[in-house]
Amino acid sequence: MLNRLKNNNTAFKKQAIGTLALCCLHFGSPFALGADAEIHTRELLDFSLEDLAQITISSVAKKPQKLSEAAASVFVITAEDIRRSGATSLPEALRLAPNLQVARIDANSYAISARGFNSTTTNKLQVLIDGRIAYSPLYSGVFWDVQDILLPDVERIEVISGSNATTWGSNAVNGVINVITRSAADTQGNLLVAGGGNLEQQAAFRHGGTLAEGASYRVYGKTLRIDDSQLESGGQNIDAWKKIQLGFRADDLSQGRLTLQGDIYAGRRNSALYSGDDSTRGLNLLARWDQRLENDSQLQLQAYYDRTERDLAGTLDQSLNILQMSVQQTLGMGTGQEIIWGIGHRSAWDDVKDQSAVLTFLPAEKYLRWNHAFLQDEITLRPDLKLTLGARLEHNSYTGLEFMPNVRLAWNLSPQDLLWLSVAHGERTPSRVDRDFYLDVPGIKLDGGPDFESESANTLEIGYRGNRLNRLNYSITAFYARYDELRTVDPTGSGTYEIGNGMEATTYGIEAWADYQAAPRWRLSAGTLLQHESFHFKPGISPNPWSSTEANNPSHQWMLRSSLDLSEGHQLDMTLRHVGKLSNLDLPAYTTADLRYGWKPHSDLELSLRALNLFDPQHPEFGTAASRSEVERSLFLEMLWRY
Amino acid sequence: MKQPILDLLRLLCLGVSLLLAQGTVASDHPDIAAEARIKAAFLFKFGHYVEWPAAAFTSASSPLVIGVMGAPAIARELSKAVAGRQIQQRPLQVVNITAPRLPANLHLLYVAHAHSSGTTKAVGNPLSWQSQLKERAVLVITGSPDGLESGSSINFEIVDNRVRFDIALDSARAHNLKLSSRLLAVARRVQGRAQ
Repeated sequence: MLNRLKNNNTAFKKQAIGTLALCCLHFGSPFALGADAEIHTRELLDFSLEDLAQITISSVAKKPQKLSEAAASVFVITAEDIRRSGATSLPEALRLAPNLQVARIDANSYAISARGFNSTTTNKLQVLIDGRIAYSPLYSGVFWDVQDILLPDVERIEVISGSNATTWGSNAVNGVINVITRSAADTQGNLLVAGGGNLEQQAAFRHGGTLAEGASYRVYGKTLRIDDSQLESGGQNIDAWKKIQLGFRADDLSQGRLTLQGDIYAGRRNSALYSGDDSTRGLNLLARWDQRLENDSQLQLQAYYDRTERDLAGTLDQSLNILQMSVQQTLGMGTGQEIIWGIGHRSAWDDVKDQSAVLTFLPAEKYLRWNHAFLQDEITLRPDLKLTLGARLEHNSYTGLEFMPNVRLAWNLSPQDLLWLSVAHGERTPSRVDRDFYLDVPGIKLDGGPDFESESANTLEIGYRGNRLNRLNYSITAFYARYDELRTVDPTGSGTYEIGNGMEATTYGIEAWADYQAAPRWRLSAGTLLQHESFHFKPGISPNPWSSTEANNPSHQWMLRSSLDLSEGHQLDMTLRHVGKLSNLDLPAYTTADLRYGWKPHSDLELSLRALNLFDPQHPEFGTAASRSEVERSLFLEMLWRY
Repeated sequence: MKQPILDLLRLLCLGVSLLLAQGTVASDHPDIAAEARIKAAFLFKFGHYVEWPAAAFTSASSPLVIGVMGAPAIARELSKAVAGRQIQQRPLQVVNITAPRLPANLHLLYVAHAHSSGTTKAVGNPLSWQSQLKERAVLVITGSPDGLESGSSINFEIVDNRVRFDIALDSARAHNLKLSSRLLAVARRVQGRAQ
């Protein structure tokens, strides 16, 4: 039962209110610039006018200033990276980040995390899509099947591993994924994308136009279909699904920058365990206003509404409404200091109907609130040395007030070299599944923990980032983190269990990546992650099969990519990816090779053929041997036409 | 006797700055190279926010031509970067202009070194860009402290380690160009009034 809940990706995960994006002018752009080792001119072309006007020359060249704001392990996935990877969904695009663990569970769900702790219900990662928090307070995690975007309209995805809860909110214990789509002004004209392969088919259309002087819009529609996956144990899983999504975005630049955007979607999926289909529906609407004030100060107001419905046939039918409002201001103090402050409120009220007798959320209806205030001061100690002090107070309905401080130091050893250090404390605050969840199957009775506390982490990171000859960029981060109050399923008697905070953990490891422009037409990238984790049960807690669901992480993974422009209009991209074995799941290590060939017969038309998993016909990436699906070898042919 | 010496000096300055600009791309002078890259990106971006009269293009599918004068590094960087890109559904062509005679087909011109002191003289000089582009629908962008005075419509300024730009609306109008308000919104200063 629990497994079913997890397989449906319904149970635990999460993030919180994220705002570092806001601390930079337009949704994090200078941050991204500082972070990216070298900004190629080709990538600069994808920046908006506003962003170009804000980039410090030095940051583009890997020099101080904004780079110090990136005293964190940041990897930026660019629009070009996404296009050349041939990724057809957001989770697949996230495989490009060496500092993320991405494992496909079945046709529609993924296990995605940073710094270990991966599970079907990963809960220590903050995910934002254009400022909207994508995680569900049901389990503090992301239902990846409904977090969809039109990939050609993505400007970039910033992936920050490590604890960033001070600026991004209580769920950013192990990392932040910040998806930023292009301004409507940058997506003018019509775009038609259609693709199909042996495992999935997709079609999308986008139209962009202008509304009035300074205002532009885009509307899009997208539909996809993914076939049943294959079970490792033989036979076919019943998890095929289809989805349709419509959305829009409008940007008005006449008074500061006003953005309105929204999406509406519906999905349906075969259900393996019950007769009848699972269905998802949702809509969201966001408004954001950025205004530059005098004295280098910047104000941002944001509000959004997000409704999601998830009907798991025979299990539960949850409808959830979220309302968020936030204010953030950046103040240039002119004395070598920059202060950012922000406050925000988020409400969530849900209703879990049609619950089965075995699995229940009690109370069925719940109203949750979060309020936060944060303050950050970036102090220029010396031209080459910046100290950032930050603190966040966040109040939640379950545990009350939580405090999340952070100290960062960035030292530019030379214009091309940055050494940084970060000490942070983050909290993963409880979600409904931790407190209000009840399971009753023959032999097992599990109750939500009435006293379940926030899971917490203290993280120490040291990183170095450098650039040589404008052709070689590299980043290496060493991390050490201690976790406390980790969730466990604690026995309270014979066959009865309660969710508790019975575990501690220590993790340490290294993340490193580099890219090298070997020739004007040839770019090579490499990334690796090495990590070690050890979990300890607290005194009095006895281990049981369910108690450590988060120790499903490879000790290492690596990837190599080659992007080659063969000749005018012809591109060849190769990716080699290796993930070490997952011991607890008895899941073997695997290596995959992906190939993409892109051809532009005309400047408005692009055709591409992508082959995934060339090496093996199929391999599992996550789950237990009895029930896990496998990722099969696949071909995908896509046509992209702009007119 | 005085004039030839001044011209010689000016040529020398130009030569040295060209050398510098080229050297920075090849060698490790990220600052200037970065500035060139940002300017190159701006040139590409500007093309999206300008309305040319239909007559400026020979056909619906004819390319938009960006000329770069006095900054081979920017020309090279831009032509490399825009491969496969389009502006207003038109393919792009980047031309590094070395001869004084400007191409007949031109829509956007970047002049790296323009000085207002030479403007009066330039008007009388049939080979100056000012004379050649008179009333032609070409958006001229300069990158000198007094660039707008020399007759350009947009001028780059380095402000606080950032590349910003000023706009002269009268000049744009004289060239039969309409600039979008979005472009004006991002500009640091806008001279003149919209029509």
